[in-house]
Amino acid sequence: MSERFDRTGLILLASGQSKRFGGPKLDALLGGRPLWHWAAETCERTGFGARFLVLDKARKLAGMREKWVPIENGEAAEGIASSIRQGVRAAANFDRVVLCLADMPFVSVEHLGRLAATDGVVFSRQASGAAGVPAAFPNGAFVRLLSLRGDRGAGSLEWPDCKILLPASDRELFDIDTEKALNDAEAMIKGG
Amino acid sequence: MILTADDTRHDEDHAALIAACEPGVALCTIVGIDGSFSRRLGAQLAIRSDGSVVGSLADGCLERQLASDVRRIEGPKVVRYGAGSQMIDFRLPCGGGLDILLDPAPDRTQARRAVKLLKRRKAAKLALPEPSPLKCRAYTPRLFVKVFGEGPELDAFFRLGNAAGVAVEPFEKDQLTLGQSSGEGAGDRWTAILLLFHDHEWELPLLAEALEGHAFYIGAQGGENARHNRTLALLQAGCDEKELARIVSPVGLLPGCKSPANLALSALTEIVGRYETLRERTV
Repeated sequence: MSERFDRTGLILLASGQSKRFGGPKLDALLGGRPLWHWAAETCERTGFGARFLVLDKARKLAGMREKWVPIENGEAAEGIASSIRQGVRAAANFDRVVLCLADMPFVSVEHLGRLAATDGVVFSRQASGAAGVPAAFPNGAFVRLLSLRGDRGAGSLEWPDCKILLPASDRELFDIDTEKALNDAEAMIKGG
Repeated sequence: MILTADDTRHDEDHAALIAACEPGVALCTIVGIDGSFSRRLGAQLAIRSDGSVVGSLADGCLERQLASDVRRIEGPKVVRYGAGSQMIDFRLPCGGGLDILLDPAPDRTQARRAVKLLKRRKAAKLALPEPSPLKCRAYTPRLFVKVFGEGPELDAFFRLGNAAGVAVEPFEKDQLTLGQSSGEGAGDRWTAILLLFHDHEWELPLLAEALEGHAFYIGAQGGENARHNRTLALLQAGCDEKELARIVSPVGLLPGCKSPANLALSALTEIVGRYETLRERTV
């Protein structure tokens, strides 16, 4: 099967330190499945040229899925920047990358597809109005992403011509950073 | 250095050595070449007990033959393949002959020590057992390119290097402070430093920093005027003339490149060429 976005690499960041969560967050169950499987499955259905899963080298992730390229980040403790750098290096031969977080279970195939298909640097518009992930970058932006350090994500850089996409629902960008958020997500699933 | 020490595994010249650190893995080394061949003297192939191979010596044909031959011997042996071989049913397409050391149990302690040295970016050696006519195989740390600059030239160089399997660490103007060195330290003997600025006022402290180290290649992009001004400024800043001669400019093998992609190709080819020369001279 040919992938829809075969010149685009998908980078799923799954090396977060779960500092505000009591335990290994991405393995926690949501609707009976490991949390990270939610975003992973959406990425699989969107159809990218390759999928890279950036992991903390010091930590195993439950239930590895097929056709993901694991990228072990030995510097995960530095913060999100190290994971972005590792992912971009791995995907550097693609024309474009889409950056996604493993703790956002409700991102849609449509939204990821729009990020992949829109030209230039594209962020998602969060409820606060700020530009955030998921986000997409053309290969001309890779070197800038490699300049990130510490806790600074891609949104911390100046992107003069970036576009900001509004997801179909606010819920798409809901991220699980506390146990309360996980319970809220569980309630959202049950509520439909 | 942001690239991690683990990056040494990506140098294909080290792949067989790394594999040979594991128990049960045989190591084959080209120890003599009669005629011309597409690999260097010392090229290696590791063969695991299941017959899978790490590294490459030629087409799959020679590799399959080696995998089958190495299983039949107990200790190290040098075998002639191709022209001059006793095996009449096996010929190399290039028509030449190869002497290959087949070692079913290479010295793993030595191999591990060599890998450790390479990870620390030190040159390493592996003594080859009797009856090898080549007594020692030398390894050089992976080529590492630090490239400073801006815009499409920097992007193009990073992407080309990445596609070519070369470790490239790009530094964008935004990460630097005008008039200051990068603070990243000068390069070692296996490092190339390349400056791709249009705005040449960024160069001086970076070049001074590079000249303090041992980088085998220090290159800076720029036309004739830029080169002239750069030399004068470095002399005024107290740079030694001998040191100045280390700076390669114009950079690259193709004169007057007019596109970022061509400039990247031209500079990378020059850098890889010089690194390979360095590698050949390391014994």
